[in-house]
Amino acid sequence: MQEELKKPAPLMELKRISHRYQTEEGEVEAIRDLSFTVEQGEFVSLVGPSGCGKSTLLSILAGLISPSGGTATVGGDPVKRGNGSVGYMFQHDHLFEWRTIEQNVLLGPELRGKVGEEERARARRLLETYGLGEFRRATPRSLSGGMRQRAALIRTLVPSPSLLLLDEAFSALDYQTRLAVSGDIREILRREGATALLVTHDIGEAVALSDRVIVLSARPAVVRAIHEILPRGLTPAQRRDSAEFHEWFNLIWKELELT
Amino acid sequence: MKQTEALSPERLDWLAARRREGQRIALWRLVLILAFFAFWEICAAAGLIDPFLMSSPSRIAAATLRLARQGNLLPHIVITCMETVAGFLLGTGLGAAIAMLLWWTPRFARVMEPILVVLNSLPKIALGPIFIVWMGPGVGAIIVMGLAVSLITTVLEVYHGFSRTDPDKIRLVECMGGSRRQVFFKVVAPSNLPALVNALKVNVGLSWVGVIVGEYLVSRAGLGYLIVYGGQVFRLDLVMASVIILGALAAVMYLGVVWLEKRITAAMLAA
Ligand SMILES: Nc1ncnc2c1ncn2[C@@H]1O[C@H](COP(=O)(O)OP(=O)(O)O)[C@@H](O)[C@H]1O
Ligand SMILES: [Mg+2]
Repeated sequence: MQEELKKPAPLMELKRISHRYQTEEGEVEAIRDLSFTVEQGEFVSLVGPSGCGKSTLLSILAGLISPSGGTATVGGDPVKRGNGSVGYMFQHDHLFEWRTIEQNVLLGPELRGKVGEEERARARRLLETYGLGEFRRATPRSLSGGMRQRAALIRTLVPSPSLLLLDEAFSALDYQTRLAVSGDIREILRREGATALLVTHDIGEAVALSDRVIVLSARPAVVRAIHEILPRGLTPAQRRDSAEFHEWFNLIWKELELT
Repeated sequence: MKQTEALSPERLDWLAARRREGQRIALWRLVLILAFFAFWEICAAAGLIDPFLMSSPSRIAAATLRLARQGNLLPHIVITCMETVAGFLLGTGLGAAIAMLLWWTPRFARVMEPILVVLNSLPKIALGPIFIVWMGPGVGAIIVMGLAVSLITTVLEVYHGFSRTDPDKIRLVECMGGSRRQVFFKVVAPSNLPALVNALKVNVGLSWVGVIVGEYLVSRAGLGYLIVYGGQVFRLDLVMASVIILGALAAVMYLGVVWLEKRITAAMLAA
């Protein structure tokens, strides 16, 4: 009892989440009885076969759909759409071509009707720090794929969400850019002290970036295994070079094959 | 010497050849049009065709000048242009507004869809007499004709664009707390601006049809009226002159919309 009280509450907690979609063709059970937590400052990856319900899970966490069963909390509160506690990043950057980079990254405050000096300053600081300062007034068209994804990340960070959801956020990039950008973004998240949940089907990416990797089964998704990747604090490049990298890779590969 | 953009000789040759080809095409176009009019004129002069029935370029020019000098040309041109611009702006604006309403309330959209498709296949020109009865034989009825021919296609076209907006872009805005109104004005409308301008392009052409038919029916003023009147009194010079002016005006207005399209795209990228 005493022990439990000392441990800080997890930032995000999923308790027995299930979800079924109703369609013309019938019922699709996407998730069954899924429970896990993410601690403050952690980077957690979810790997699972495609179509197993990963995006559904993120939609639940963002409050975009409500689950058929179970509870999801972020920072102790039940998730609620648009309350700013969760940031979402997609496979494509979805920068608006008709806006400058600065207007793009200020989208969050703008939607909540408060683009003050504070928000502007934060956006400017993030753009400066992460190499996009001189592109503030440029249109997305003039940025490379990696820079665009970085701008999309900054757009997500500007409203200071407590949890970041990354849905296959790097999979639209070519292999080399993907390595560079994912490492880059991992570093930004570390420096900003952000907590992130990444969905990916790239096992190498999951192992290289994460503190923990959660392996999901085929649909309906249940937790197959949770791996703590130690030691923490390595950069993705160091991780990829480490001796354990391939062991982790092969282990998770086998677990996914079982599904 | 300062080295600025040194183009290779092949590149220069290619550019020159391309420019020459462009000039050649333009020249041929001009030659073709001039030849057509010359042929027409010669046939009329040589008595191969009856100038009374077929008119001729010189008679058309003379008729146009006469009208202009009597002050009988410009008012007709102005009124037709005014009706067309009004008809197509109203048709496009109203069409876009209805499309927005459909997007906003999906149930309304599902109710309306088959109805709109049926309305779209109806020849709108058949409604002309009804508009005239309702609004009186005047400019109002003609503008409504110009509007009617473009309205339903605009609704269908623009609504189709709205409903195909990238769902992830919408999710992005929703996830950040955007309301449905914000989703519309910050994502749906701007991403469909090209579709809207395209609707404008199509609608210019349609509105000319509606307006000219309206003027045929109302027969008070405008180029359509001149055409009908010229036919009734057997002055084919007048009919041909009006048709040629009409063609020129339609071309100018189309180019105007194309220019607008370029400006909007540029403004959107610069904003
Ligand atoms: N809106 C929806 N309506 C019906 N079925 C859906 C919907 N979204 C996803 N699904 C189904 O739910 C399952 C899980 O989808 P998803 O969460 O997108 O998987 P993943 O992201 O892991 O590839 C899939 O079988 C998919 O077809
Ligand atoms: Mg997915």
